[in-house]
Formats: sequence, structure tokens, C-alpha cells
Amino acid sequence: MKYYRILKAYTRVSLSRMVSYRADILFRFAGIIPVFLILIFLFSIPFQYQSELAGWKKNEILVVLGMYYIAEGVAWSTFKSGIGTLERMVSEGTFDCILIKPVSPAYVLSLIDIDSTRIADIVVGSFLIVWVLMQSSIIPGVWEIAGTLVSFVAGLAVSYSLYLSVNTIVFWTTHASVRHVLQPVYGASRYPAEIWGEAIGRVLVWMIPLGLIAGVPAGMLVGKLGIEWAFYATIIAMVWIVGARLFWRTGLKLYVGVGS
Amino acid sequence: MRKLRSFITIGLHAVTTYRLIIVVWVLSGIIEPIIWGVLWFVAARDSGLPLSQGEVFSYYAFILVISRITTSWTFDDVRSDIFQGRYSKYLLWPSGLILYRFGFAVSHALISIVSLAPFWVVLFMWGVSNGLITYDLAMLPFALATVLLAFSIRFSIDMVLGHLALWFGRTEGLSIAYRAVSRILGGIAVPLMVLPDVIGRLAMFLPFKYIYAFPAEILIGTVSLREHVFGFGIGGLWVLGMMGILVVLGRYGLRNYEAVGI
Repeated sequence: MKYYRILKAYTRVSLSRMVSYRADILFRFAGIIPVFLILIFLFSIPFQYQSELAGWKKNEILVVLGMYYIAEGVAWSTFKSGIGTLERMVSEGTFDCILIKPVSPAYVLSLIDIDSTRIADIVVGSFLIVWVLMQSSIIPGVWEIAGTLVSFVAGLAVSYSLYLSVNTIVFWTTHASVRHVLQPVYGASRYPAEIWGEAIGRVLVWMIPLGLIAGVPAGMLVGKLGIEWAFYATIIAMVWIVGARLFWRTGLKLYVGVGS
Repeated sequence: MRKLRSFITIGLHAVTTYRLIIVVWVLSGIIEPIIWGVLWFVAARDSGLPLSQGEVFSYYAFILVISRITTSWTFDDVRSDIFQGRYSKYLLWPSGLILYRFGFAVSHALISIVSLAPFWVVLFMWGVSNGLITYDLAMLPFALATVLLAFSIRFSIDMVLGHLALWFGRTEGLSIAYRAVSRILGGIAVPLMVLPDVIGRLAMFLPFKYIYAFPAEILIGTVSLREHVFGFGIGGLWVLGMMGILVVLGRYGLRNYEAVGI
């Protein structure tokens, strides 16, 4: 209950901050639509020459793109912005303000800078998926939808764990900005893992499971992957969450709280 | 000139103090072009694009370097300086913000070139040994000139967009949209040669192509003399236009600056 109240409070702060800068909302929403349309167009270029790319049809790849936008939208409008502030807090020594609160520091850090403007990503991603499914007459069954939801949540958990782990490195390096490396890597999950070839594809699903963020949920939604993938995704996500949590606690012990 | 040299030196010292940041820069900057490059490399193999795999490889090998040199954080730095009230100190400096930021951007570019060089040489040699690299060495002086032009265009646009924070306060949405549009219409997300004529023509008049794709296209030898002249002309106009706008923005925008963060 306490954690829910914290979530509510931070969301309220974020929304009021968002409406304080209305031009920024306009930039965000006006910017994303042309970018999104151009991306859809880009994805369709290879399909002008043949019907499949690495075993995926055009509509299926567009569902992956839509899923990626939803996942990134959810991630940024919940934990990514907040975790991204860790480097500044550690280097300025202001992370103490988080540590003295009687709740999990990782939880507060995740919610401290919710970026509500990224709801735009969720809206356009959802619209694309619904539109593609209607265009291609794909009607997912109950199991497909359930599996998609489970693997989507697992993908988000992986995304959270990866982002938290990479930012945790800041306890050792202070000024690394290592998250800047990870963000472009996330871009790889815009496409099905098979595009990167068999070996890299396997790494992207099983080891650094960026493929879980969009590729697996989208694959389940369009019926390319079976329900067992929801189980695999859950197991992988749990391993990553435990790993990230251990790494975070190790890093936390190194925090000296004086800035640098 | 002495002031600029000092700012470049300060920038170099600031960056080299935290050496891991350099590694982060190199990695974060090359990952995105590599991802797009692999995608179009696969597409060239599987779907018969109008570009060969060698052309895609060469294009992205050059884009890798050019995008590193022209990448700057000037927009984000200026907007956050204004938003958090740190802009005041630059108003007191006799040399001003433009020279300071320019010096920093140059120092970042220098460090990017040096730190990327080993990786790029290996990539280039691998491309040569596999017959994937096509380049026209005679075009190197022109390409270097266009890289300087690209750097100036990027810097001037960054300064103008950064100063919009004087009016709008928070401009994070603008930053995200700008990054996305410049990557698509600049030729990082897709080689401009595979775009339809209408978008290709539109890109010719926008600045983004001259920040990334134009120098790469010159190096692989797909740009005619007429396009050279046209590119330099349009690029130069963008720099002049942006610097003019910057002067106006600086003068009128200051009235909105609250000095304590917005």
C-alpha cells in the first residue's frame, strides 16, 4: 500500500510537471507521428523487393515495431528517466536523499523522474499493432493474448534489470554515463532477433535478452511463437531480476555520499 | 583564436579526466549506425535493394566516423544550462557562450576521432580484405571539407534549438524529435539512395543530409560535381541562416531568462 501511494504521488508530480511545459508536450506528440510514419515507411522498403525478411513478413515486423514503441513508452514513463538520474546523484552526492527514505532505494529511484510525455509512444505503438492486425485479418486467440501479455511483462522486467544493472556501474566509475551505450543497443530490439543471424539472434534472446522486449511478445501475438515462450520469457526475466538486484546491492555498498 | 584554443584545451582536459567516458562515447556512437548498417546489409543480401552489400558496408563504415565527428551534445547542454539557471555565468563571460560551446564541441570531435581510429582501421581493413569497401581516394579533400561543413551545420542548429529553452523552458520533446528526424533524413537510419525520389529531393534542401550522408556519399564516389557545388551551397546557407537566427534568439530570448532555473 505504501509503495502504491508513492507511485501515485510521483505520477501526480510528473503529470503536473508535464502540463507546466505544454510546448514540450506539443513537441513530443507532434514529433513522434512523422518519425513513426517514416519508420513504418523505412521498414517497408526491403519488402518492395521480396515478401519476407529473415522469415518475417512485413506486417509481422510492423507488430514488432509497435510492440517496441509500447515497451519503450512504458519504460520511459515509469523507470528509465528516474534510473538515468543515478549518475548525477552519485557524482553530486545527492543520492543520500534517496537512501534516507524508509523504502527501497531502487523503487524510489525508478519513479523519481517519470516522463509522462512518453505516453505518446504507447499510443502510437498500440495504434500500429491494432491497425496491422486489422489489415492482415489476424485475430489472436485468448492464449495468444495471455502469452503476449506475460512475455511483454517479462520483457519489461528484463528491460528494467538491464537498465538498472548498467546504471549501477556508476557506483564504481562515478562518471561513466554507461547508460548511453545501452540505449542504442535497445534499438536492436526494434527488429526480430532472427535478422541479426542465428548466433547473435540466440544471444539476443537467451543471454542479453533484448529480443524479449518486443520480438517475443510480437511473435506470440501474430502466432509465430507458441505459448511455451511465455514460460521461457518468465524464467529469463526472473534470472535477470535476481542478478540485477544482487548487483545493485553490491554497488550500493560502495556509495560514499560525498560527490566527486 | 587564443580563447578558442583555451576552450578546446579545457574541453580536452574535462573529457580525459574521466577516461571511461571516452569509451562510452565511442561505443554509444557506433552502436546505432552498426545496427542500421547490419539491417540494410541483410536487406541488400535478401531483398535485392538497389545497393550492393559492398556499397552498404562502405556507406556505413564512413557514416560511423562522420557521425562521431559531427555528434555534439551542444543542444542538450545549452537547454539544460538554461533550464537549470546555469546560463547566467556565460552572460558574464566576455567571450560568451558560443565560443565556449564551440571549443567544447571541437574537443569532443578531436577525442572522438582519436578514440575511434583503432576500431575503424580494423573495420576498414576487414572490409578491404573481403572486397566490401568501395572508395574514391581522390575525393578525400572534398570529403574533409564537407565534414567541416557538417560540423558547423550541426553546431549552429544545436545552438539555435538549445536557445529555444529561453521561451519554452523544458524542450526534451524537441530534443527527442530532432534526434530522430536527423537520423532518418540524415541517412543514418537508411541510406538516402534507397529512399524514393520525393523524400530524396526533400532531404537535399534540409540540413540533415549534409551533416551525415553527404560526406559519406562523396567518399564512395556517388556524388556528381554539380551535386558537390549544390551541397556546399545549401550547407553554407544553413550555417549562415542558423547563426543569424541565433543572434536574434540570444538578443530577444534573454528577456525571458529568469536566471534561477525555469
